[in-house]
Order: sequence, then structure tokens, then C-alpha cells
Amino acid sequence: MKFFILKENIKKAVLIVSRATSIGGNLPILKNILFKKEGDYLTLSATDLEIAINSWIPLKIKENFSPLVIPGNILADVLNLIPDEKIEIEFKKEKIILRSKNFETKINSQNASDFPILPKIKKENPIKIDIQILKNALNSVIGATSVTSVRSDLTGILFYLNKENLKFVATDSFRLAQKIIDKNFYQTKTKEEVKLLIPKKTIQELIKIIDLFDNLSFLDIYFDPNQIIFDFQNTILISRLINASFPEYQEIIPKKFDTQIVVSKEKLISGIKLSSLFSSRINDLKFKIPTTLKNLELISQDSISGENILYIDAKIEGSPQEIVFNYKYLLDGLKPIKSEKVFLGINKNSKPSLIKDIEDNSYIYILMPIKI
Amino acid sequence: MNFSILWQKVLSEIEIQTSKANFQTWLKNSDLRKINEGIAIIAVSSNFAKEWIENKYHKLILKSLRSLIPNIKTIEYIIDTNLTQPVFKEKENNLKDFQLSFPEVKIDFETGLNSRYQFENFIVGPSNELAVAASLAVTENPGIKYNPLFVYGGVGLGKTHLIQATGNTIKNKFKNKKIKYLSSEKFTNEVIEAIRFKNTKSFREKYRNIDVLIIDDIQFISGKETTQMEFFHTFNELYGLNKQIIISSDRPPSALPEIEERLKSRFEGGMIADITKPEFETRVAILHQKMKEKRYFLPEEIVELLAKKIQDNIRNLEGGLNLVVNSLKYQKLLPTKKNVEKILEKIFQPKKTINFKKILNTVSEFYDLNPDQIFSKCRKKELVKPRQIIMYLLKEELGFAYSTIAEKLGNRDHTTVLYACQKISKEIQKNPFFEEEINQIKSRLCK
Repeated sequence: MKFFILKENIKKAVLIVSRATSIGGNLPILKNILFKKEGDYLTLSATDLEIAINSWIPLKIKENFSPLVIPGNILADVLNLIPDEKIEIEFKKEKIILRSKNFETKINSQNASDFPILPKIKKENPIKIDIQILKNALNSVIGATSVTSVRSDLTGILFYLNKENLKFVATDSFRLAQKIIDKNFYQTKTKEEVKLLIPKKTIQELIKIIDLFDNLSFLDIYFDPNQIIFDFQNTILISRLINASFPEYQEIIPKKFDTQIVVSKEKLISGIKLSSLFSSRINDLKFKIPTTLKNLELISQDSISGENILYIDAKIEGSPQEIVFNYKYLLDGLKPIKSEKVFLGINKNSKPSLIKDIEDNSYIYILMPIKI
Repeated sequence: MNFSILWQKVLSEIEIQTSKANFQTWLKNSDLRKINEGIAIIAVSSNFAKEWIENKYHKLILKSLRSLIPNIKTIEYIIDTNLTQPVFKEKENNLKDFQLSFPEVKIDFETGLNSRYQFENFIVGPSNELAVAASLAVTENPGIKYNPLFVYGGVGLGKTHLIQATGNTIKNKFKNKKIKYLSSEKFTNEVIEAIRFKNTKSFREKYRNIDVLIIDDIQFISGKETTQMEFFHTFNELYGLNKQIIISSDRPPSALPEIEERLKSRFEGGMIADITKPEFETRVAILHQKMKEKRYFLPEEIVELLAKKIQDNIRNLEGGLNLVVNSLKYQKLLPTKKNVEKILEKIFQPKKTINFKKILNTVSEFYDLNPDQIFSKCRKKELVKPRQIIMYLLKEELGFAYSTIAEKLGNRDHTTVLYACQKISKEIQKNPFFEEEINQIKSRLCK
């Protein structure tokens, strides 16, 4: 079977699907992309057994061919290096041939029967969601997930659909980020509450794939108890779900604050960045609220590099205090905030503090202090 | 002479003769370990340090040591990588030692157990031997042996750790068993909620499907009749099905106030084990365990000092350890006995605020008396006891002389005071309930 195709079309599909190939794993076949004919479509699939990506290219050819399994990286490199805009692709037995006037490449197929069978999922009751809003929400919380995999429930992001809204929540036990998506930005027929725990890696890939679909405004989400599908119409991302319950996090969210601070986001971020140059190995940065309540003092001190003190104008209510935070966690929490001003609610006695956008309540970031 | 003090003297002498950078780099993290037949053993932090000190500072150190202990012939250097930091070892991910985390997150959603509590990190000593043995027996055959298991003991002695460790061990051994750990307060709240939302039936269902029910601090259901009734039914149901029940309390069943007799007798039906205050050796072992967990490093004499100074409970022991380690670090002090004693003073300061008036008022209030009545000559029973307790506390807590106490409490004879103090201390030893009473008064005094 052979046909002509615009290089960009096949390149994009290969690029997307390659995100799910697994390099250096135990199973060599997972480096490959599976090509097969499904109705009027050419299907490309890849998986690392945690996530799988399928992409479809429409074809107006009746002829069929037996599935082929081609190393994803070789194919991607070839497509990157050839100058032609239009190429001919031929699927033969055991090999795929790419050609134009000036070149002919034959890439050998692996044994297609070794390729894993991708999980099936019923496409019922989709949640249709605004793609940019989704991306923004995921970017807001992903920083707070845990990097270690000791506690599986902390390596994922909670997808919590309830009657009022859709929440994304992540925590590594030191901080917690929650972003709420308003009902206006998604549609669903699902009545009951849904709580799913999506692996961090899936979310990372999802964000990257969303970037490749800049002309799409909605995507569909399907799920069953074990897996979730993100459907981009001609591409789907399938992922396993984490089989664990997310911590009961509602109790963590502080409702009262000993000190309430409203401060310019830009000033605070650049202040933290400056102070961090002199923070010690535990990334500690002291916030001092003086008794005058006139400004916020950032104090960092390291026995090797030196020390820094910085005053930032702020509107402060409550009691004066001193508290130490991990500056990296602070920056993570401030990054998703869009407004000019941020709210800091600080609590004493090893209780969590809260960061939020002063204008937008949909995002909150809670963090625990460093105890010194 | 104490080695660490000796070594500090040597170091302070050398410090004057070297640059600060050199001193910090090579010598600060060192330790005099032993002096044996004229050979001093000095531990240094690395191979580099050893090389450097042997070549550059050996003579200086020897001279300085000899000026303090003349018969020293030579010095041997050994390497101890734990010395890299004077107080504790810092690793790449040392962040976790300081960064606090949300306490709620550590808890297993299904069981309510905190995985931090295990038998492996529970220190066994004579004070808790029986309770541990009973708990271990329960983990072998949940529901069969020792049902219910009733563990009681004072605040911060490890009851929660022990019963949670029991739950965690059962969870690992018997994957299918449904385990539920909760405090009696949480149980009460659930009862209230079930009544309010009229779903007591599903509440009962929920508890009656559990294989191992662990209730912490049962004393808090005192006086809550409906909760007690619900608990009584749950208890009977589970007990009848040979399901394991583990209960903790701050006092034995018989001493639980405002709890129905039928519940008390149920509690007494299985195994009752107590946890008392750990003795010195156990306290030392606990400190070592905590230091291992937190990767602290302190000299043995400091550990013993801590164990000697902080006797009442393990929570305070841990608090004291944290305080000492952090204070040493941030004030950049060496871990010497003197420095540590200074730091510990802070912990014991609250006692200083206790005074005559406070004792008088607290005790009067506790027994619902007017302080004036204490000074009277009246010999009514309900007055005599509080009066004697005041005398005892004045002696114990403030160290007043018998004659002073006698004078302060309305010009009595000092032998009256002597008799009162003896009587109270005897009674405390004899009667655990009376001891509890005194402890309660004492804790009010500290507030």
C-alpha cells in the first residue's frame, strides 16, 4: 500500500506519539511506534505501559497492510532531515519505505505481534473541557506533586469533579496546590462525584501535547476506575490511574491567619530570588513581620556565602512574627498567580500558611514552614 | 577530667594561633575520644583533615594537651565521618529534617493509621514490657487472644504509638482484615453526625464490618451517654464475632469517671496492660532511636544528661532533644555539658513561676474551697486534705522549709507540716488514684 502525504502531517503524528515511547526500559519493543490501518485511517500508537498515545491520519485508500512496528526515534530523525514537503510512504511486508525524487529510506519493522495491546475504554459520558483553562489549571498545581515515589498517593494530581466545580489538587505533604475550574468551562452529564488520581508524568505529557494543538479549543475526557483518556479528536492520550486515595486535604486548608499580608507579586518574587542567593542548604528564607507592621522583611543568611536583608512595602494586618519557608516552595506557589498583588496568610506554631491571588479565589497554595 | 571539656580547652588555645578559616575547616569538627597509657585518641572528620592536622597542628596540639595533662606521650588520629557537622550529619536531602509537613497527609485513608508508628521504632523497657508483649500477641491472632486489649498510661508515654504499631503490623500480616483506628473524639463526632443526618443505620453497618477496631483515648467518652451506648453496641457486636478491639486510655477502666459500669466491665474482660514512665536506660535508648531517625549526632554524655533531666514523658524528651540540637546548631555552640545545661534551663523555667499564692489558689480551686478556709484552724476532713496537699506541694515544688510553711499557713507547728508531707507522699505511692489527683493539680499549676 502506498500513498503521498504532506511531511508535516506525518511528522506531527510521529512527534506526538513518540512522547509515549519508552527508551531504555526492559522491553525494547516499547521504543517503537505501531502503524496499522483502521478503516479510513492510518493509526500510529506508542506506549511505555503507563501511558499510551494513539494518533490517526485520514487515508482515502481501500488497500490494507499488516501492522508494522518502527523505531520511533529513527523515523522522527529521518522526517526531520529530509527537505521535501511531500513524500511517498509505502507499507510493505516487514518494512516501511519513505521516498521522494531524491531519496529512498527503508526502515525495518520489528515483530508487530510483540507490541503490547493497548487498553480499550468505553467512550461514555465525556467531560468536555476548555483546553487552555485545563492547561493553566494543570500548570498551576503540578509543581506541588512529590518527586519521590514512596507514597503513590502523593505522586499524582487529584481530579475531583463535584456538583459545583472541577478541582485539581496536588501535594507532596509539605505544600498543597488547588486550582478550581468553574462550571462554565466544562460540560458533563456525570451526576455523581468523581475522584481520580492521575500520575504526574501523564499530566506533564498532557501539557506538552496540548501545546501541539493550538487550534483546538476543547478536549474530551473519558474515564473508568482504572484509566483516563484525553481525546484530542485525532489523537488520544490514555493513562493508568493511581490506585490510592488522595489525603483528606480539606482539613489542611487554614481558615484563620495570625498575620495577613497583601504585597506586590513582582516585588515579592524578585525579593525572594535575591534573598535565595544567600539561603543555606536547606533553602531557608526568613519572613519577618516587624512590630510596626509597615513592611515585610526577607532575611537570608548563610555561613559560607553571606547574608541579605530586604524590605518590601506591604499592607499588613495581624500580629508581628518571624517564620521560615523554603524559598523554592514559595516561588512554586507564586508562579501561577496572575494578578499584580498576592495575599499571604501566615500562621504561627507550625501551622500551614496560605498564598493566593488577591483577585482570583480559584487558586490557593498552602505551605508548611521550616522549623528552626 | 572530662574529655570534651579538656578538648575544648585545647581547641580554644589553638584557635588563637590559627586563622578562623583554618580552624573551622580542620579542627572544629574534631573530638578527643580517649586517653590511654599516654596516648590520646583524636577523632577527625575526614582523611584530608587527618593528613592536614598530623602535618600542621600535631606539635601545637601535643604541646597544648601536655600543658593540661603532662603525661601524654603521643597522639593518634582516627577518622569519624559523623563529625563532618559538629552536631548532626547533613545529607543531600536534609531538607526533610526541617521542612514540616501536613500532619493529615501521613495518615492512611482506609485505616486511619499513621505508618510512622511501627514496632521497629518502639523502644521496649520494663515500663512497657507487658503492654508490648500483649500487643504482639494480638498481632499473631487478632480477635482470639486478649480481647479487648486495654492499654493505659499517662500522657506522652507511647500509648498511641503502641496501638497504632499493633494496627500497622496486623495490616501488613493480614491483608484482608479491615482495620479502623480512631480517637474516641472522632467516634463521638461520627455518632453526632449520624444522629443529625439520621443515618445511624449506615453508621452501625460501617463499624460492624470492621475486623480490628482501635480506639484511642477512650476517656473522652466520659459523660457522653449516646456515644457510650453506640460504642457499647458496636463493642458487643464485634466482640461476639471474635473481632479484635484495642482501646487506650489515660487510666485503668475502673478509674474512668462517668462511664457506665457495663462498659467498664466489658473493658476489663480481656487484657489490661499499663505503660508507666520509662526509666533512665529506656529513656537513653529512646533518645538514641530518635537521633537515628533524625540523623542527629550528640556525644553520649549529652544523651545521658538529657535522659537524666527530662523524666516525665517521651514527648518532652523528644522536644528537649530537638531544642538542644537546634539551639546548638543555630547558636553555633559545641555540644558540651555546660552549653546543653544552659539550653535545657529554658524547658524547666515554667516551674519558677509557681509561687505560694499560685499553689494556694490552684488547690483551693481544685477542691472548690475559699483560700481563707485553708488558714483556719478548722479540722474538717474536706479541709484537712487540701491543706496537707498544699503543704506537700510547697515543700516539693518550691522547697520551702517546714517552719516557713507552718508559718505561712496560719502559724501552725512545723511538725504538723512534716507529718502532712509524709502522709501525702505515702498516699501517692500507695494509691494510684490519689497520685492521679496530685498530677492533675500539678499540671494545673504549670499552666
